[in-house]
Amino acid sequence: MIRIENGSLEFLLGNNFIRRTGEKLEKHVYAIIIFALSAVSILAFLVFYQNGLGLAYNDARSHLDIARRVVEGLKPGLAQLGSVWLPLPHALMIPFIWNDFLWHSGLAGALVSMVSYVGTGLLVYQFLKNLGVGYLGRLVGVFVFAFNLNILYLQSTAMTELLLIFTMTAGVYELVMWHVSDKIFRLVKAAFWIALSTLVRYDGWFLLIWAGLLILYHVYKKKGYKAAEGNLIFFSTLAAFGAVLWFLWNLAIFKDPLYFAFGPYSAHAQQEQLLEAGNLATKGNLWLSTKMYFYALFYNTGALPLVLGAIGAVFFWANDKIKESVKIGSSALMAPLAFNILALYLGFSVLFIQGISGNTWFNVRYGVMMMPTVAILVGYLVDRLRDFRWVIVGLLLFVTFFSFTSVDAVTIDDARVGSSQKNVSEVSGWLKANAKDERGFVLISAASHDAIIFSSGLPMKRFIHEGTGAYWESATGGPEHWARWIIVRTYDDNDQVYKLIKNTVGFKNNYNKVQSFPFADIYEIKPEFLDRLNYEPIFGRQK
Amino acid sequence: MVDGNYYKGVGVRKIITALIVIFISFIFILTIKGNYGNPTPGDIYDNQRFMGQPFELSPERGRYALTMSLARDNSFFLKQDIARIVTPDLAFYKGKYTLLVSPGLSFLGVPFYLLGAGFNLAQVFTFGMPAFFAVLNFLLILKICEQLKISFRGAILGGLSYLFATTSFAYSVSYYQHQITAFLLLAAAALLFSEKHVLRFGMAAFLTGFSFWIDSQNPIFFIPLVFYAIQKVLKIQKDNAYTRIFVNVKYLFAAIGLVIALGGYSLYSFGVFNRPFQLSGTLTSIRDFDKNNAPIIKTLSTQKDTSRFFNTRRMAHGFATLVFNQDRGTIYYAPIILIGILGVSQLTKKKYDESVALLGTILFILVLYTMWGDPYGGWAFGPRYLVPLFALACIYIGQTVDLFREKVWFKIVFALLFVYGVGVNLLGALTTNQVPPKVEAVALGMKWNYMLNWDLLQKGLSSSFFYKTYLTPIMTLEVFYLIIFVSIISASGLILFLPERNK
Repeated sequence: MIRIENGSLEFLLGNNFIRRTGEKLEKHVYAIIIFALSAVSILAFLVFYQNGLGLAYNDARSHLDIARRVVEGLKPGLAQLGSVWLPLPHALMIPFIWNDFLWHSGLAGALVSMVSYVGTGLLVYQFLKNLGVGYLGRLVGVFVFAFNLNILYLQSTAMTELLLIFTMTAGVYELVMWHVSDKIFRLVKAAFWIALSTLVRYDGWFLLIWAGLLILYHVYKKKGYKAAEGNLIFFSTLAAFGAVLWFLWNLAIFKDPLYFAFGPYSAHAQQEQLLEAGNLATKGNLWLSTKMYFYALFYNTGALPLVLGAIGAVFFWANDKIKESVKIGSSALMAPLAFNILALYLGFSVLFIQGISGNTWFNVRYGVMMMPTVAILVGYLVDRLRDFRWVIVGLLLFVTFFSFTSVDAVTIDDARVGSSQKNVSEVSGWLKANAKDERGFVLISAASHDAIIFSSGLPMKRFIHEGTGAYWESATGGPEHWARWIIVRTYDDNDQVYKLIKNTVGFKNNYNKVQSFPFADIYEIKPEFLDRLNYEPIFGRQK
Repeated sequence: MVDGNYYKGVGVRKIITALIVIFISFIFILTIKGNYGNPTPGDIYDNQRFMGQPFELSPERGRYALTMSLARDNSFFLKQDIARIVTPDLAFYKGKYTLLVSPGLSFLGVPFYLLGAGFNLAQVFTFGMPAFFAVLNFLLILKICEQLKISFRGAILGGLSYLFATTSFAYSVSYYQHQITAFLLLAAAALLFSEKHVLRFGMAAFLTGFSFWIDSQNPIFFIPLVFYAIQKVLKIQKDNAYTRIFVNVKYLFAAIGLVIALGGYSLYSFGVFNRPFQLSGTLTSIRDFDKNNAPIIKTLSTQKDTSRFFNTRRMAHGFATLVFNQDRGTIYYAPIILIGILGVSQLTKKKYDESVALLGTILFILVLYTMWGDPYGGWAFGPRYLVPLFALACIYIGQTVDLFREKVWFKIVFALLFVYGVGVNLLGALTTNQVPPKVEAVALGMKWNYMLNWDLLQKGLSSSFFYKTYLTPIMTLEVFYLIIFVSIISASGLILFLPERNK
């Protein structure tokens, strides 16, 4: 009720009303968070879909293509999940990827990221609640995570970061809860989420080891070696299940359990090329590795949240009221930091920061992995520094506002101008204009040119690539029988198609180079050989 | 009576304050940058644009040019002879020249210019205006400290630290806007921290709006004070059945102050640019004039885009620049400010709302300028954008002095930092503000911090009007420097080390 009395505006609120409203909000807080985060998530997706940035990352298009090849192509099937990337993100896309719109809009992949975004927001809230943090601190934590522009961008794409963040955060959350309660079911849940994270990216494998060590230490301290061993085995049975499956998968499909690690399309092979070119400066240099990752952290989390998070960490680990076991369990929140620095130092990973590694970005998005940790620590800080919490909240709102007005998302730069992007629109545009309404297959290396396949808009079954079995073997042996068009980087043996066909008579005599672009050349079969081409998939169902 | 020290009673405090104000004013008279005479645009362009001269940098040239145009030609636009001295801060609008920066300082300078012109000292009087506001700022710091129950001794030491041991010194004696911004913030805080009254709130609102005249980003710094005012106006009462929130309607009229100030700007902007809120920084910018006196317009890529004035991507770099770097870092130019951190907790416990409002303002200033495209402030002496921050931070220095008033180690640390700060900042006040940031200095083979000023001191190159006009034949610049240095240190030392009477 509002009234004016003695020159004062008076707002009258019944205490019962306030109490009831408070209770309602408390009762439905999860629904409210889910609704709010979902709305933000959808809005962000629409913005990035409309401005075309949702598919800017070359890798996003490849992820979508991998999932698409499972359901459509010359040789569809689960084997198309391949070994280049861990399979869970693509597997989760399968229910949506069959639809052309969901495939080409990127929504099939983004949906996984969007659900992960909402889930992680909830986890941040729940984590803080279980640390005894009040409402304001919890909501600030969720805000810091949810309104980070890099998070908002990545959750609008088919990239794997958000799924990894979600599964790892869920794993760490359950692990900490197990440290608090010692309930075995918590350990099972931790194992489940960590197992899922091991199927998203190798960061999850590091968390698996870290979590194993934490379990060993926690139980050993309480119950001795035997119990520790038992708990570790129990945990590992489920948590390492995904990793073991991955070895088996590689053995079954590629006849080598370590194919993912040392195969021709592995990150290791990529790193070897970079090393040869002198672009792996972090290898063997701990200081540079640390510096690089901290720069990536600054750019991804934002300077203010990172600084506040660091202060929050000091308060957290210096707080005598928090049980030591919880502090030790929570150290798992730092796993992405340790993993990324170690990976850079060992040369398993590569990261370019503009200004340090020349004038380009590459993989700078790895810094976003610490975002939930930073958000939790900022939320915690707001709760601990009660006297200054409104100052902190004000500063966070202030800086977030300017991060939006200045469109400060380093991941967008990474996707648009860095080494992660390829402007394949010329090649794909040519295909769309000249091949879409014609008959005939396109011979292309998916490992090198997946972005072209995606952007061309042609159905997957029009492409002969490494995963098409007999078609690939026949077409690379005698392209003139199969390929009306060939897309290759001429003279580059890293392009599997060029490497295999360069000496064939058919390629030398039967094709004209019709276009040459920075990322690939287009060859078309001469008109007089058109009638000798196969236009239909004749091999039927392949094993 | 404050904390039982020897400054017995209000009357004694007033006398001491008056003596200190006279002392401060005297120091400023000795150090104001300038030359004798009423310089013409030609004088400025040909003779006074160089290192150690009053118009060595474009900020003071630009603002002075508009003051001169208003006083001489009664025009907001600059004639070509005046426009020539303003580049590269010159804006071009529909065939006329104006400033790329906000006009408020130039307007305030007009009475000082006209007064000085009568004594053939138009430039010196105009440059004295920031010094005048610096003195007012000292008094406002005393006032706020009193409101926050900080001792008189702490208040004076805080105020003197601000004036002489920070980069505030160099920008009190030249024609820059920073002292005015500091004044507006301090005055608004002092008004709001006083007993609640609609007129005081209205004046604070006016100052908030007027800050836009001085620098277009200034109103942002007032956000914490606005929240402070709102919570002061709200009264919450709880009984068993109801929670009542009262807002005294008359305080809503305080917003009229804001409307007057911004409305005034809007009228000015509309009269000049046909737009109610034209930001000067977004106008077409003139780099220079060619040999035929035709303006050379900056290329499109170098023109400013308002949406990109502040970029969070720059924060880490900006923070390092303003706090740690040798060329502009606070720890190199005004380390005494760090002492204030020790008083934050105690002041917050004592005066929660006020301390949070002050701290919020300090952090807003710091955070905003870390996002700024050029945290160096161009060629400048120290972190010039942080001058208003230093003014507010010195209130916490006062609190820290109280906190450790009996600790000898603290007095020694304070004295060392104060002596260092005065030594460094007096160099800037007496020689030049034209110090390049390291990124440019390295390429030019120059020094990038106060060591450049030290070299100039040894060479005898001074910007001081008083020294150049009256003392050059009598003493070297080094001796002049030492006299001022010892005077400030002695006066401040007296206040720091004199024992409390009750001890």
